[in-house]
Amino acid sequence: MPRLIAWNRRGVAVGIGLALTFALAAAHVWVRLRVVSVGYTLSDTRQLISALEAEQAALRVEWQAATAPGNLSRLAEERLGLSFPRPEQVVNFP
Amino acid sequence: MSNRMRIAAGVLGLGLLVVFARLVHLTVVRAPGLAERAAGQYVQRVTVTPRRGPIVDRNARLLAHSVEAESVYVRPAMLPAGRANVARQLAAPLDVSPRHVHAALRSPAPFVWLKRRVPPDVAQRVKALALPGVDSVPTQRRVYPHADLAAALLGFVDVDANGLEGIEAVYNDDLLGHAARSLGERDARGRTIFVHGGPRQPETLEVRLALDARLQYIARHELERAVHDSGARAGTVVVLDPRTFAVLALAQLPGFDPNRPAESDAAARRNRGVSDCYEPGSTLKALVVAAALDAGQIVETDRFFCENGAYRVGRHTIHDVRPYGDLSVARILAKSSNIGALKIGERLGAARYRTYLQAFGLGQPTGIDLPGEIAGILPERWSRIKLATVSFGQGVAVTPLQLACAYGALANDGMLMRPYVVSEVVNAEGEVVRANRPTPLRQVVRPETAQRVRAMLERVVQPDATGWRAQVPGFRVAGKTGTSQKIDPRGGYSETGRIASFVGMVPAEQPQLVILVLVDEPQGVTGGGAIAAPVFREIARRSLATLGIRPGPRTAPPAGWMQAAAAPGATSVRAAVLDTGLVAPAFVGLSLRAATRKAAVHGVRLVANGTGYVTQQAVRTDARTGEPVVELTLEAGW
Repeated sequence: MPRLIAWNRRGVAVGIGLALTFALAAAHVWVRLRVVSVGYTLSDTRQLISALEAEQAALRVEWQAATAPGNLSRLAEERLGLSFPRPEQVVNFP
Repeated sequence: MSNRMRIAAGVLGLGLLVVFARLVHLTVVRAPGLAERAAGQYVQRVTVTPRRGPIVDRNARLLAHSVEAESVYVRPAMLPAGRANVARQLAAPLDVSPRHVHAALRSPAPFVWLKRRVPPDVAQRVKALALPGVDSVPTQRRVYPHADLAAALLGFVDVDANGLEGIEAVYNDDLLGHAARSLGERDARGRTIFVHGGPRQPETLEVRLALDARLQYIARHELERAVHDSGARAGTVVVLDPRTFAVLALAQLPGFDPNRPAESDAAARRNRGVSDCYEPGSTLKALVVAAALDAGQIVETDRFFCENGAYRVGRHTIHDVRPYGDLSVARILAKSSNIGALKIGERLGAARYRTYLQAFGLGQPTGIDLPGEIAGILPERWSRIKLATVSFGQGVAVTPLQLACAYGALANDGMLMRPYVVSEVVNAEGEVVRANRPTPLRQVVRPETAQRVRAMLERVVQPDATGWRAQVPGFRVAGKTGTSQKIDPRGGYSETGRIASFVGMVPAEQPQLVILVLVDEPQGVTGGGAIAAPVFREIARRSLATLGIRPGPRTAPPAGWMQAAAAPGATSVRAAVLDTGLVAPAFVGLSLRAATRKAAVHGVRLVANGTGYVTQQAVRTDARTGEPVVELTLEAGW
């Protein structure tokens, strides 16, 4: 009887050991899969950032070209008939 | 167990032992090498190259930036048959001639660029053709949204985004930035997996200029108009803040488009403001007067006999444009008398004059942060005739920036400073990495001397002086006209080639802008007062309005000078004339026709004397009717 109990205890210990090993292995695999998944996300995000930055740069250039003093002056003259006042049109209040 | 089974067990056991030994060998002994080989197949180094940093003006207005682009290439050996058809297919999206594409396709080289730095959508259209051997690689394209506005100053880059000229070259290392590197793993489809974390954001720096794009536009626009109207060959404008020596504008013509630098010639790409020199002519007279005053060799009340227009110096005869007798120092500047200036120079002495010119920065680079700056010419040994000619600006050569800085010193109470274009270099967090701060170099003349010279230069823009067209309504202006002969490459001076210039400061009582205008080889009328002074006036007027600089109480006009203003509470300009008798619309500088039109608008009666342009005006009461009239004096333009 005592020998049987000893065998059972040994079996339980081995079982727990195997279970822990399996759990660790599973955790390792899960972590590894998560690393790969996050790696993909990082990669995609990097590409997205890069694309958005490129788009922002292009839009910034377009905006600056559209609001360039020369362009605004031309539009003001051609579309709105505006011009910088001539000296005789300026009245300075003392 | 039979022998046969023992032998079989032994063989199997030996085999297992060999396998186990091999396992140990591979996983223990050769592990590092094999792991490295494996990593070589799936681990990759990822380098993120930053886009070249932007260049912005003092108000953060973008002057240069880099955008994403693609460079399209072909591997001719991989192309299918029927290259003429392929060439036609590629020519349309690339916007090049089929002949050009066909030549590239027939190249014996294994790799040929079809077109570099095309927009991404163009590359997409090329890729959509799915032609074997045709592909593209990502790159960047430098874009200058203002095109040729400040091209000579900004410079440009080569196909690999390396700065070649201007700010792009001087600050190339800062603008290129530093690439960010990281390790990643490659999956079966070649995608990158950042299992070690992604790369940091690559560091890019932004270069902020002291330049004001609005003032640059005004300077460029007015210069363009003057060069066009006068049929001139070229022109340069420098706008400087004399309190800091920050360059607010540096415009030139002819210009070029830095987006397409290869389409311009080298002469157009040269920064004339710092790389070209010219004889400054009469604009140098202010410096001889400042030097003589500061050295105590003359006083303001001194008068010089100007020999009625002709004066012999050795074998040479020096002439004035018009004959003058006795002139005060201020009148010598106002009338721009060569003989008066040389007599002041003679009294100052060659050694002292040269020392002062050196102190004003002539004959040496200003130290501005631009490439290609030259020193100009300041001769070592001066004969008597050299002293005479240098006194009125011949025999020395200055760059436009040098002369603007010398006048900047007069505007800054005698203190010369180092001019600068880039105010600071900042990182992505907005932290200043490097900065150019106002740097005093030396006190050239005493503050009182500078103030006295400024007061004399105010006389130059009065109605009876050479620079009257530079007067800015509502502001006090100080400046000097200059008309110099150009050097003839065959020797001596050119008979026809002239440089018309004006350099001045505004508001004269507390200068905030120093503006130099230079028009190279105007046709017909060539005087600095007729050609360059109006450009100064327009640039100053528009720049002051743009910067929000208003005429202050200290900017009251000198006695006898009428100002375009209305008295407080007056219902109209006519009422202001009638009620106060102090102010009237400004007619100075107008033709008689324009003055008549303006008078009609304001309901003011005019009496005109002379022909040409209005140089003086005064309000008086008509003896017959008892009503106030504005009496105009007109002179022919010169």
